[in-house]
Amino acid sequence: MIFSIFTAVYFSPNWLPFFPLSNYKVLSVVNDKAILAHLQSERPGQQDRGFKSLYEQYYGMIEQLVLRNSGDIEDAADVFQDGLVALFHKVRQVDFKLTASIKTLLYAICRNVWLMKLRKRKRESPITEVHEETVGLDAEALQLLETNDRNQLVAEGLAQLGEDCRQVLQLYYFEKCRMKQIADQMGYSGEQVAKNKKSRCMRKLREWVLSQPQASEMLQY
Amino acid sequence: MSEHEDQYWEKIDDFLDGQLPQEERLAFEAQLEQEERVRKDLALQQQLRQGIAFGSQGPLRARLDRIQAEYQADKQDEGGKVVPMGQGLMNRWLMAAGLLIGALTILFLIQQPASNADLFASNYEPYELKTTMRGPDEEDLSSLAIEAYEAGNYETAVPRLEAALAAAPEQAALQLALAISQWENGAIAAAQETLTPLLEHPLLQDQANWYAALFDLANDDTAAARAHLEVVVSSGGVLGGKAEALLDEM
Repeated sequence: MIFSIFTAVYFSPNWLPFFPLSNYKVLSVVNDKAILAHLQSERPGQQDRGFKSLYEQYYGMIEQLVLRNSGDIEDAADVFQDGLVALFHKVRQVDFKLTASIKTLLYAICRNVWLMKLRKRKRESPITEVHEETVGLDAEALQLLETNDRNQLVAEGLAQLGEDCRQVLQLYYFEKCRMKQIADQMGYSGEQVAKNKKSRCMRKLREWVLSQPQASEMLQY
Repeated sequence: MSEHEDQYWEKIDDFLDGQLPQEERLAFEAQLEQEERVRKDLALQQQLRQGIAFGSQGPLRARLDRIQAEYQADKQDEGGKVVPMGQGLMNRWLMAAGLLIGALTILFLIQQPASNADLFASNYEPYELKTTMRGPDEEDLSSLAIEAYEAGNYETAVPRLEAALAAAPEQAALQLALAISQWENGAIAAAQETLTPLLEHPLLQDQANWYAALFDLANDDTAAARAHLEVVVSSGGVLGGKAEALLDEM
């Protein structure tokens, strides 16, 4: 009996990090709170941990969704990655609150991404669901993924800016960092310096974009 | 553009981020309704923001490509579909596996024959010299040797037994006692050497072979022990039953 207890304790998960069993991968569910904290972290390593957890836990679900609805393995990989980009962007918004599970949110995003792609291929049909719960989405997270000419033009303008400007605008508008975080990350002396820098960079971008011949038509400005 | 212009665009950003205080927000919303220029600027700012986000995906996409490649490689290594297992469920499975392994190990140990060391320990006890061997003179060499041997004082017994045997080499029982004393003192090779002449002794052959077998078991030499025990069994003496039982256990 003592030996039984010993072996039970030995094989318990608490010991596994110290005595890993060869060829055995512990795949445990990381909860929503932890994933959210990872994605909202400023450290890329932490963010990547969140992405890895999402791959391990939900890639299979999205793969099934795409495969059962006229897609193939490559489509599934693209949809999942697009979904992660949109989810990352969404959870980093200043006013983000998680009102459904990450699974439901990610499913809703990926489902919309796949519908958009099907629509472009003119193959839209009633979708076979693989996850019962659903959630309403605001369009902003999904608009991020649209590869229209207007987005391409602004992205080109962003690439024309200096490295500092590009970083500040990305930190503010994509990663949704606060001015204090931007100042810390960029080595500025304070929030006001960061704010002024952001204004100047945005002005440069606006001027460059509006100076392009196709801008007027594309932006209807 | 002036600083004033920058503040104007800042206000648009704050409005889009929901950061304007209520009073300012209401004023801005009123301005939006009234002025087309402001509506156009708001739309432009939204388009620029979206374009910046779109253009910022490159490094993130590169990281996701790497993570996806690692995930796919792991999945292939596992040779099948990755099925997430809840921590609670995994704990229960691991606990159950631990208990099962423990139970099987106990069963395995019960089924296993005892080791040679165990057999030695459960069968060995020093040879008992008969008190009738004690001579009339309590102070003679043999009596002193026997006294030390019977007291378990083997360090003292060895030189006394050697002296007694030097004076009277025919005392086979004392030679057996010497072998056992040497064994007890850790002089294993000497003990086996002392025992060897007794293996064919007409009176102490069984005892000598019995102890030789035990010493062999202690040395984990099963074949040699078996050979000595078979001699004891075949002689049909009083130790025959014990030797046979020991052979069965082996």
